[in-house]
Amino acid sequence: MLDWLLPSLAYVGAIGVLGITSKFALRTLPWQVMIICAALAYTVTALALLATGTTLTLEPAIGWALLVGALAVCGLTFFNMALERGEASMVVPISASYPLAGTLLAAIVLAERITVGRVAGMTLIVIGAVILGRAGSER
Amino acid sequence: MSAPQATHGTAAWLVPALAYVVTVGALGVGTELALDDLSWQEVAIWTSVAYLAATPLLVIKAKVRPQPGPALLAALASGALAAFSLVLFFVALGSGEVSQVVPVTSAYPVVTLILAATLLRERVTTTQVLATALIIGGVVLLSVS
Repeated sequence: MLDWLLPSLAYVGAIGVLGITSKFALRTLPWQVMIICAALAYTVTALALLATGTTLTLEPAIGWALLVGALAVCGLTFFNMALERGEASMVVPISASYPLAGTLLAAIVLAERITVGRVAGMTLIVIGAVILGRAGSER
Repeated sequence: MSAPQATHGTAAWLVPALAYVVTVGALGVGTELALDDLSWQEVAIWTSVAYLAATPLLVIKAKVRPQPGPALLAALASGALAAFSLVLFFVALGSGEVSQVVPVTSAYPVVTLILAATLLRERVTTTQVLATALIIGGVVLLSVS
């Protein structure tokens, strides 16, 4: 159990802190700097993976991987633009609702089934996001 | 390098936040398709290629010249946390089921709420806590259904 629980909890801590460090940085730096710093960190990660034996295969799926990379850059850009303008305690919880879009897109693109449980989950996410949006507009 | 302009109003942050939701949702689907034939390590390497491709554009077009200081350190920490968390997520998925890992990892806004209130001195209301709990609950339901 610890095999997956420890990295999962470390992930919670890392992403939880990420919203705070980003908001602090964005008080004086433009969002472009955040992307450049992420590029630096991803490059170090990629070099570490290559140094520890990861080999790149020439599969057509590289196209998907590059699309994933492009979406990651766009996603981080939108996240930082939102954090630049809003409070971390509003932006981060709303941003956490991305599985809603993932579920809908998976149903459209991958023909994954939308069960009653998933509809209930999506409903909860939408209600939470709407409440946060309204709370933000009342400030 | 100029400091960002302060923009107020819900739409100013809500629109990019919702764009993030859609983009990262699509990223999840793309990752699922890429992982059919590639390892997560390869996906991470190609992700770094995309970041590297975007960087010269940002440096040249936006004329970004970061200056040393606490804000730059925080920006570097954010970059490191983003890359590190991606690896942690894949490591967790390597040993656990999606239905186990995603419910646990979806709890990260709780950490942000606590730190935003204590370190950034943001006002966190009961409504925000309730709404965040609904979103996390929804994500948990999505992943276990």
